[in-house]
Amino acid sequence: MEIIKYIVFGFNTLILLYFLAVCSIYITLNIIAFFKMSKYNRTIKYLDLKRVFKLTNYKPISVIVPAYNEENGIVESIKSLLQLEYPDFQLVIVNDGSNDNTLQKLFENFSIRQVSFTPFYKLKSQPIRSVYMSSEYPNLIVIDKVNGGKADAINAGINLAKSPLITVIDADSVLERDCLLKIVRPFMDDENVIAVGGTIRIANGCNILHGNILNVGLSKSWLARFQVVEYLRAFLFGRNGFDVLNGILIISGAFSCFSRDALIKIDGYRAGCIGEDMEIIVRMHRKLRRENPKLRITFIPDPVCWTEAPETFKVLRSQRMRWQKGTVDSILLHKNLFMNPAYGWIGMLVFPYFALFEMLGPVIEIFGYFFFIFSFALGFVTISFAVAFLTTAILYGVVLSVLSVILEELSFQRYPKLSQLLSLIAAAFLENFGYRQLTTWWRFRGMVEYFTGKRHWGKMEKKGFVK
Amino acid sequence: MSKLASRQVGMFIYLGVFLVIHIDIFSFLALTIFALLIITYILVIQVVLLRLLHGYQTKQEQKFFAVWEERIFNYLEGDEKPQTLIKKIRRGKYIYLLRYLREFFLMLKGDDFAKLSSLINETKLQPFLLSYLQSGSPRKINEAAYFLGLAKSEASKRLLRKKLRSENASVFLSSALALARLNDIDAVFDIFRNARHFKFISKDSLLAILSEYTDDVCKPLFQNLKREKNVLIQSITITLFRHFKFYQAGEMVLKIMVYSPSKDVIIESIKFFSTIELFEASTALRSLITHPKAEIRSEVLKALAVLGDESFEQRIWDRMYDSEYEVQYNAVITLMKIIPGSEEKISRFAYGNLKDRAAAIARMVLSERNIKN
Repeated sequence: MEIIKYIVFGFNTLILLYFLAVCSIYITLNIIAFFKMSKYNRTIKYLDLKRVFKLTNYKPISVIVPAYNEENGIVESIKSLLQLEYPDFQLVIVNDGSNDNTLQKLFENFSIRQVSFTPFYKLKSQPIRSVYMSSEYPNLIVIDKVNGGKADAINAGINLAKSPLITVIDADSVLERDCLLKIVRPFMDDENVIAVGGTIRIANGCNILHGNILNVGLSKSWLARFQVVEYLRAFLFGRNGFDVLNGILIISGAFSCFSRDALIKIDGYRAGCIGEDMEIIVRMHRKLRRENPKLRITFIPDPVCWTEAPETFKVLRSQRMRWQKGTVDSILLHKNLFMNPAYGWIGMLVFPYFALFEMLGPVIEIFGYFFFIFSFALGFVTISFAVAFLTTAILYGVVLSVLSVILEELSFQRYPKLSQLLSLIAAAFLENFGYRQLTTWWRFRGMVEYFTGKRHWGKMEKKGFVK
Repeated sequence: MSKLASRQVGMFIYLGVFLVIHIDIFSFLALTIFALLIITYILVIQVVLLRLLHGYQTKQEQKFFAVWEERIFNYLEGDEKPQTLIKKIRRGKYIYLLRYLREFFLMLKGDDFAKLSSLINETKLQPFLLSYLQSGSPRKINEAAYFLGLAKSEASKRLLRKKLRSENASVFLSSALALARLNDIDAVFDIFRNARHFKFISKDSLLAILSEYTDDVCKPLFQNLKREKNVLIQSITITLFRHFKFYQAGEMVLKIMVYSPSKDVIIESIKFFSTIELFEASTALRSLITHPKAEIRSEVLKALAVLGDESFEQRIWDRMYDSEYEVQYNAVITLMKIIPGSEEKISRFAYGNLKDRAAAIARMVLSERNIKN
């Protein structure tokens, strides 16, 4: 009994230390994010973005849109993408072997005709069947290829992209009209930038017409509202904080921009990878920044892209399990970065943080709950202590969530009504009672599935925004 | 004051040490909960207050804009003096007016712009902005520099030049932009000189600022280019010549390009020749068409497509077998543009060599061209 008591005590102390470490890291990230955001706001306040049109040295962009069975929304998406504000961009739609009418819809709506083609680069991808070009929109090209997954489709797009900057977006993303002007700025400000990510926001509840956001709103579903707060937390203080250390380890696949040369140097996306958006960034750090530590992978806090969040437990579970598998996959693939001083902050701080807190976090948390109950049952912990500890943990979560709402309020204020703000604050409270524990459980299951060999993507059903 | 502060810090440290020594873990958690509850409460109140404040400011701004929209239009069309108009507004609302005028400043030209500028330059708005410019706050300095630059306020030049020496990057950039908008030619070399102190100010950022000058900036830059050794400044200067189509610099840029080891300078020079259609440059391009750097080869081909020297035909054909696709692609396009009847020859080549990569590129260009036409 004494030995069990010591083991339980030891583990509980470990959990407590883990909790303190998480708190300290999050508070530090928050403080950094506050400073960075206020500096950023000062910089962009009087920046006339459209001045870029005056210049002749802007960098052309190829926007790659992988599409798989997107017949419902693809036409609206492309129409909206063609209206993006930028002086020179090429839109590359990659039909990844869809078995619905995606390609047919493109024929019907954009006057596309087959062109002869030869890939400019040799990134690995499934065979390309045909390439089409629109006679109506000269900057629109469509690639039809054998199905190979998202990463594979992006590689096919890169092989035919003509511009030095590559933006990758999801077919169902809704973009801000000036997103390209914003995302290209870091490349112009600093020649060492090789990749830029932007803030992704939840589009559920927004009024969307023809692929454009008319009014920003909040979904009636609390599940979607919780995710709004989660996204605010992840983007506004998570990524902002790490950006200061040049330690961005993930850029959302829904909207990212890369230097084409950097993508070619690292052989493009890794086909068949579960979390391709994280894996490619980790690989960039590992291969390119090792050679040239001056290179930067950065992040702009502007909301540039809106995406649909799952509103059912089933779809959300599938998404979270997939994300967790992606995180584990990327971390294990590049495990030699762990505590490797050759990679600077990435090796010594950011990568270990992701390994210990993002990858192992759910395991430690689940075991923590389990040991807590166990300790309580054996009488090692009093009821008052148990309640006090849980209350502290939950309140700490609430403080972090409310802080991210404040960051949003101080910066972009995209939710215009007071009622929306109050809903967000309510969501920031409520998500700590069940929702977070549930997502932790799904992430734990994702990990278990990963290690038991079930490494497939899972199915993501989306309602779509078409009106 | 500092004694009081240090005494307070001391008390907090003492309290912290006392708590750590004397309380058990449960009491510590209880205290933490209490602190977190208070923090949460303060944060929530702060969010709501921020929103209410913002809502109030927005309403005030909208009210203000509704009144001033008509006033500004009447002012632009009528004979009202700027001083009389500005008298109608309290100092506390100057910033609203400036924000409202921002879009007008960016849009208007000619007499309307002059009238609008006099709203700042001949009224109390100017000393207000100059006081902002002299303040220690980067936010206020940036704001003032922006509007003084937009209104081309001559009175601010001296202060803005001082601000160019600031160690704060945003202050440097906003002052440089204002001086460029003021077309203060003498400041251009200060901008170059002081930009070197900042690690993260890129060529593109400087170009975005310097392109706000009028083409008057070209002459001093031209004089400077004769002795300038810094390749970054050479490259920026040549890009600006291209932007302003400064023909006089053609010959000198040609000399610089021939001897320059810098890829950037060579590429900017070629683009410049193409923009001003300097046919004399084609002889110099002859050697660059086989330059080891693909970007240069590619740029030469693009320039030849504009300059149109037929004597290059064979050399351009050779580039169709280049190792880089961009060079191959541009070679086909250039051939079709400058050599009469080449489309038929290229077509025969493209469809007669189905396994050849150069032919594949040619087929791609031809089919894209068909669709575009």
